[in-house]
Amino acid sequence: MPRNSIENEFCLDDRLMLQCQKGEAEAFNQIVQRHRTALVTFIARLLGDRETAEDLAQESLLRMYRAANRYKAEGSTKFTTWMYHIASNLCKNELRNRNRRQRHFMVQTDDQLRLDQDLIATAPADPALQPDQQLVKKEQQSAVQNAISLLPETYRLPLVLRDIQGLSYNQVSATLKLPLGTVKSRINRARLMLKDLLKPVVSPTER
Amino acid sequence: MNCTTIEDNFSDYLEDSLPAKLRQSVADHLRSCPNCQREFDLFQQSVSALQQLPEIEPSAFFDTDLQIQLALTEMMPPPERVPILDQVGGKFWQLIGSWRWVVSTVLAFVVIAVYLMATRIDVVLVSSSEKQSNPQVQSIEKRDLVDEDSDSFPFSSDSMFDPAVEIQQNYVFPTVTYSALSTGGRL
Repeated sequence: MPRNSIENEFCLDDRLMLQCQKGEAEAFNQIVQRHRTALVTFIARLLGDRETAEDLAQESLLRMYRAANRYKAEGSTKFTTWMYHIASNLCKNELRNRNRRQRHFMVQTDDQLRLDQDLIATAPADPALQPDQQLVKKEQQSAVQNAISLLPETYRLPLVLRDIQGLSYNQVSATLKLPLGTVKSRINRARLMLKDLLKPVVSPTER
Repeated sequence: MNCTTIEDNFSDYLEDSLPAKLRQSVADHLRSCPNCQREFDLFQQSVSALQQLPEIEPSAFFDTDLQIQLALTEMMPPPERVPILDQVGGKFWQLIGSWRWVVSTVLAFVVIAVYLMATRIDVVLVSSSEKQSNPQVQSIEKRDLVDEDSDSFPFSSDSMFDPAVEIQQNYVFPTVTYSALSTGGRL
């Protein structure tokens, strides 16, 4: 996407937020329509759970609506980082609650794996591929999703923001409120971990 | 560049954000080391697989549920304008952080100490200047230095031989006179 077009997109978000502050309910509906898929994807990839992802995406949007009057339009990438910051905090809480539940009740990760499979099964099939190729691709997606779920939270968050949501390093840094250098090294470390986890699935000879 | 440090540069090499010299060094090592080249290919494939994960569309009920919840939600009022002094004060306490109680106690002691010192200095300055300028003080002081033969001495000559009166005469009386004059009658 050309740079001007990206800037217009961000300005559009700011304009919609300003309209929302003036009491135009339709403006927030437009924001929902523009960002709901990105939010659900981000949270679902992070948690590996579609149902929780939808709940948390709705909660993120509700929080954004509640705080709309406190949003200051500053152009640039402010809106995106604000949105992902809210969603990231909700995801962190959810992951901590899950860890606590696992520690207390010794819940196995089978449930998690089932949910991940469910997430892959609901993904749309690529019509350009043959059925056997589609199956291979879905298996690979399933393996990637499981590998993401195995990463520690501190590495998972920046990796998903960068490689799945397509944010720049600066945006990831602003979203997570971490120094740029820390973000870069965490993303590199997360990719190295992912490479080790995906060794049996991804073959360099496939190229 | 060696096999252990090269991995730190994989992301930058993949995204072409390394300085030219370092990039050349990584490329040279990858050409000469098949293991590192294989690891880099795996790295590249993994990142590519991650980036190709499809988007997840929300379910059909997502919008309906959200609209119901939005109808029950109210926006928070806009933030009140904070006076500039409060903002500065807020930043000061933010800098101080969790030490605010210790710092405020120390500041309170410092203010009290400064006040007390200033008061004492005031007394000393006033008293010394008054001593120089006011001959009455000088005369009183001279008189207080047990000027027993003076006509204005307030005690009878009989009491001079009483030890209790002698103590009162040498100690209490001059102090009262000195304080009242030096502070302008405030004390």
